[in-house]
Amino acid sequence: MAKFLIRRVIFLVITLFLVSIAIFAISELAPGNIAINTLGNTITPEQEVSFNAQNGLDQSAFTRYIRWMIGSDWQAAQLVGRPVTRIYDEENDRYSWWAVEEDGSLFQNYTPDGETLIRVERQPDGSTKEIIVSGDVWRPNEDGLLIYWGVDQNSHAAMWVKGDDQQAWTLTKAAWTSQAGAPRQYIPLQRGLLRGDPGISFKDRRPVAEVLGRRLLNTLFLGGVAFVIVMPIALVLGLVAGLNEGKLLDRVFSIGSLVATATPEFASGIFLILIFAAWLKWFPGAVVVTNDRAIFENPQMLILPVLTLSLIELGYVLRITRASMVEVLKTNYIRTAILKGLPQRQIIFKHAMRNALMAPITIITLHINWLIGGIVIVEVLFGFPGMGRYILEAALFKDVFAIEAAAMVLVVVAVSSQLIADLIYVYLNPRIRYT
Amino acid sequence: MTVAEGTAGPKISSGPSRWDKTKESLQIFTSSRVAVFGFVLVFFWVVVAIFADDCTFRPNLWISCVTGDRAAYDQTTPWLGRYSPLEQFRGDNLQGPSAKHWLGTDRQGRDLWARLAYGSRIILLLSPTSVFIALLTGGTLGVVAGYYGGLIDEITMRALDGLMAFPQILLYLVIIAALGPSITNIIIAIVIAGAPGIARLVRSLTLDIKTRDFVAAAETRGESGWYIMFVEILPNARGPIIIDAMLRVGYAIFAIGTLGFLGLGIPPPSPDWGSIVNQGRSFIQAGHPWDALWASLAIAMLVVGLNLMADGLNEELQRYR
Repeated sequence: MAKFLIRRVIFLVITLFLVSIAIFAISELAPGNIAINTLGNTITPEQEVSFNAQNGLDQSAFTRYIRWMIGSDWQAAQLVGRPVTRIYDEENDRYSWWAVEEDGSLFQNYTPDGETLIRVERQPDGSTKEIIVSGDVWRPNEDGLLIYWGVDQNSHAAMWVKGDDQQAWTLTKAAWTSQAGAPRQYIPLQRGLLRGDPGISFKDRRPVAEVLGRRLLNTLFLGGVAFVIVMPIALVLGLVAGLNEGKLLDRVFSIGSLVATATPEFASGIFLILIFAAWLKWFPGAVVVTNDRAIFENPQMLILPVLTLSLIELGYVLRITRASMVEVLKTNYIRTAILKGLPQRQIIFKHAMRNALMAPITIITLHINWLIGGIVIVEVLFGFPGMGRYILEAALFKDVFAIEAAAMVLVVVAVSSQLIADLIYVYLNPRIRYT
Repeated sequence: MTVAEGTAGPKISSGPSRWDKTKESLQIFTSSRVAVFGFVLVFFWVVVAIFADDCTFRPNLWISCVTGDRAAYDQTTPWLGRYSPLEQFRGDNLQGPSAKHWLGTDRQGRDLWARLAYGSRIILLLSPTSVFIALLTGGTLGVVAGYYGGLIDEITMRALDGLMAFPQILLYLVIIAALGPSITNIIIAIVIAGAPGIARLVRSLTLDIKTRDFVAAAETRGESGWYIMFVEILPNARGPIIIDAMLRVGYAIFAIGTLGFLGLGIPPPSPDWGSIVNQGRSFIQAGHPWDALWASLAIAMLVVGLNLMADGLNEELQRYR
């Protein structure tokens, strides 16, 4: 068992590694210009170069992949000569990066003119104090230029060159601004996906991880509610259909479930909205979110999304359970039980049902990829603030880091659920345990 | 994995003629009422797509009709479609069904029936095309991996496992987001999402068939690997592959509709069903449910029809086995 587990986990890691390369390649290396996608096609070439440099997009694919995976702060720390750290400023609700002095105090740097270096020190109360750095801090590099590596005020490690009056275009909240004394090189600071920081969203300039966690919880809640409601119903209906194989009831259930599963989620969702929201006016047809807790305060908003999601799953699980039941009823041990003269009730509940439920329970977990597809559609259709809508919005905005992170999270969910399914199956079915 | 045994058996020289065999397979089909009903649903849209206008007889117009090219529609005479899908009727915006506009009109005053009729062309042309390309790529990968085995097999299957770990919707989103929505990119996305599954199926069939005597015979004759793979193995694996492909056409329609609904489909003004639902759903609250309703019904009809067909066929085949 342990050997099986280890082998599966190794395969899982390899798969995730390949997936991460695929996601990275599709979203970052595919033809298409991230700068123009993000900023619009009116930017000048200088602005594009500046944007690429500040976001690390001018680096080689390998460097970018490494930074995406395990972060860039350790590279920056070597260049700056001090550890760098990210802190959360509650008052302004923003994250910022700082270099750490030996005594634990935090500082950033900037230069207004390329000559004098200003050191911004963070005080314990959160305010900052600017002091002009005295003494010679500029170090010569291989090209003979006098340079200084520090942390700038926009979450980069930056290399300033003495006597340099390079202009840099930065996109602030208000507009494009050009400022003098800009660094020559940047390393955008991030901790990396493996350490829980997949980068900064191009859309709202906030860490992707922050929004992602909340959205994932909402989605798991929606999927979980649908799962809990649909499973018992689907299993019972599937068993009933299987027991009545070939009869009218079975035909109705089978064809009904086929129709429910085959209909695209958006179509069945539209039908439900038209019937229950527009015509009967029983439930609201959209999820209106005013705050983070709104979906828990107004549960009637969730009825239609859950119903739509359930319809698809209901059909699928019903069909699997029915097929499994039909198969079990044809086995020799059921025939023996019948011939032995056991009462019908005992045959069904004691012998058939337990064995018939084994297949659906393991297959359901394998079905999670399908469920994820349904969740994306349902969230978009009803405006539910979850992962699915997040990834669609990121895709439409070409918010590269957000797409990558959300895609990785969904793949991890999908792959690990498959691992769990395998484990359950091995546990339930000792025949394949040691092969 | 079960393999169609009937197809792999040795051929008797005085067997039934080709026509008899066709009739027999048609009987399998018609003996399932479910399959016939599914066929009717699908056939309705096939007829509508072919006879939406007279451009059927001018093949060079097909593609431009599918892509929603204005000039192409101006050169055609609408038949079943009744109007051009791009024609805007002045003052007839957001109307319900009437004798003039059977299904109503959309916000730009375009006839909804015309848009659905022409939209069926897009979906009925794109989905088989993409499944066919997926079949070519996935089939080749699968048969090569299965026949040669060893390192080639290991590498191919690991890479495909990686792709299969993606939830399909994610693959579509990421690919379309990176490449932008267009007909070619939708086909690419569907091929990438579908090929691994096909490869897996074909590989397992190949592993089974390559142990048969006729493959050994071909090897003894000194036939090349390509000959054995494409002339000996693949034709004998066609049964399950065809059923699988039929289901995949259903998935592809599903996917094209979904992409359109998400706003990642074929760009306007082309009458893509998913896009019609997407644009129409904002008018539901305003008391104009027709866009969303008809387009959803149309796509549900087509996909359900295909699934019923495949399901009925599968059931009948199993009964004969």
